[in-house]
Amino acid sequence: MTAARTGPYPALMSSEEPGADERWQDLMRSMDPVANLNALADVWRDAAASSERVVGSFVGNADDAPSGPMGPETGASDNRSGPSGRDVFADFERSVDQMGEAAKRFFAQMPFGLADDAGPKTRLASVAVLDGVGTTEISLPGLDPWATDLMGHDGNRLAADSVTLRRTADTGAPGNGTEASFIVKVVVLEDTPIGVFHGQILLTGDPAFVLPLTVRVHGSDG
Amino acid sequence: MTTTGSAVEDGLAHYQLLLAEALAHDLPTGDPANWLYDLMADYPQREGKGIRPALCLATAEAHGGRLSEALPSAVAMELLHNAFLIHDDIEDESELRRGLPTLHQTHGIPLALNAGDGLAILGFEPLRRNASLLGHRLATLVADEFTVMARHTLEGQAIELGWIRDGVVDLTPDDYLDLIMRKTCWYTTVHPLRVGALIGSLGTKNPDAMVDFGFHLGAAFQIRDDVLNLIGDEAVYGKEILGDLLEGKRTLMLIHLLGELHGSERQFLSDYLRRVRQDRTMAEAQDIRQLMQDHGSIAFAEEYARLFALRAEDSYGHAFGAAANNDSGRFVRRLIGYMLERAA
Repeated sequence: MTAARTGPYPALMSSEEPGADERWQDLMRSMDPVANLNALADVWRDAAASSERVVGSFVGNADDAPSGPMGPETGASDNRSGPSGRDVFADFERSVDQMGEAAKRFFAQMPFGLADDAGPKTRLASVAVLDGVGTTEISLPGLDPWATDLMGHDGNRLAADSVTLRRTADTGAPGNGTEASFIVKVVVLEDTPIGVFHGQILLTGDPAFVLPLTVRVHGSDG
Repeated sequence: MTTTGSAVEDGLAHYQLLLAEALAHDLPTGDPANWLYDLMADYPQREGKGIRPALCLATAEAHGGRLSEALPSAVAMELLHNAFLIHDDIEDESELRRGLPTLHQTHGIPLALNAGDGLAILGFEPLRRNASLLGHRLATLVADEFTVMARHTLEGQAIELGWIRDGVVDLTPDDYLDLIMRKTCWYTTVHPLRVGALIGSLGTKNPDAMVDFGFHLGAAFQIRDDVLNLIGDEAVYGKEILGDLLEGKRTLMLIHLLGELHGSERQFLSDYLRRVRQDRTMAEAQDIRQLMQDHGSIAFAEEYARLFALRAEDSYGHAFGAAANNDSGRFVRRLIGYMLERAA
């Protein structure tokens, strides 16, 4: 490696140190201003080229990204690079979440909407299934919920008996604005295809209630 | 302070206040206070500039997000930042941090290390809360950003410590810029911008758009910091002047000077850099600073900072897109000049 090329550019720069202005003026008078400008241009050109190399090495080099356990060089955005089926799937998953979040924000802004701390009362149940099992907690205005079959975007089906609903504690009958908490547990067979499945959790009777249920089945590498 | 500087400081103070309130909820209290929890609260209570959380919060706001959505991530950044500072001060044998003795100077290295570990681990708690706040997918994207940031920061720190330990002097400005991209820019500017953009856009924005702007903003910040370490006012700057030279840090000025010196002067500098910190004297550091002034090394670095600030201006519009002209976006833009003019 070699050190940076340098020139007479110090004469061009002023400084805040005492006496610097006088020295600067002296130097300015003693040196060729054209040579100084050329030297300054060289510094800037070198600096610009260096910064472009550094930025370039951190962006848009997914092929060069290390494949170790800590993941790709530039993080989340690499999920979006490349046209593989897995990337398309990742984008699809992301859009599902975005719809959920956008809906949450929309309702939060309505006068009748959910408060910021609505959290578990958000009207969407989402379960991520890793290594064949996944759980989440929901709250419902009734005591006898049941799940429908779930359909994947590619036509695959997840049977309703993959989903079990268990109440977390017996705190009396819900009503007057209070709800009962349930653990939603999803267990899938080993050969279940990776993907997103959509179904519903239903309460029949009074009150009738429908809660969208989304199950994301991930591969073993998650 | 200019009007722009004042506006930036008002903005930083606004975000700092929000952050301090949120941090207070995350910092544990109780026993063992005098051996752990008081130590963990020490650096966060020494008011810094708060640039990282402010960048994250303002960028999230600029992209349509709410402060409440980005605040846990900003808290996590600040906790990790303070953990890095404690370990960094030990590794660099620094004496001052934000105008006061470093934590290990006051409490000894073992307790300071432990407090740093505590802050780093505590940083994961707000990220865990993101799942219920942002949704599983977006929270995972944000958590991934923290993993990548930690990796870059550790790599940069390792390279810098390795250069010092092995007496590496054959370096170019490219080497320096690659180092500060990892060690400083990614976690000071690129990471907060990426996380803010992801949260504000609900994950729809490609955060790579922030890298170019973040690098140039962070590089201007770091070079200015290096220059202040040579010629700043210690009372304002908050760290010991010439501390980088005493630690043997390979700054842009030092790399430039190494390329300029020949003969006995070059030999003097190489010998100085090969020694451990305890064997370097303040008089030698002052001599090296004088050499830097005589050979234009400080002016050279200031030109790099000036160019990078201009390039940050150029890339700001591309980075922020439609978010460039709202109040929060304009606050981020004003930070460019602030980074270059700051005295502390």
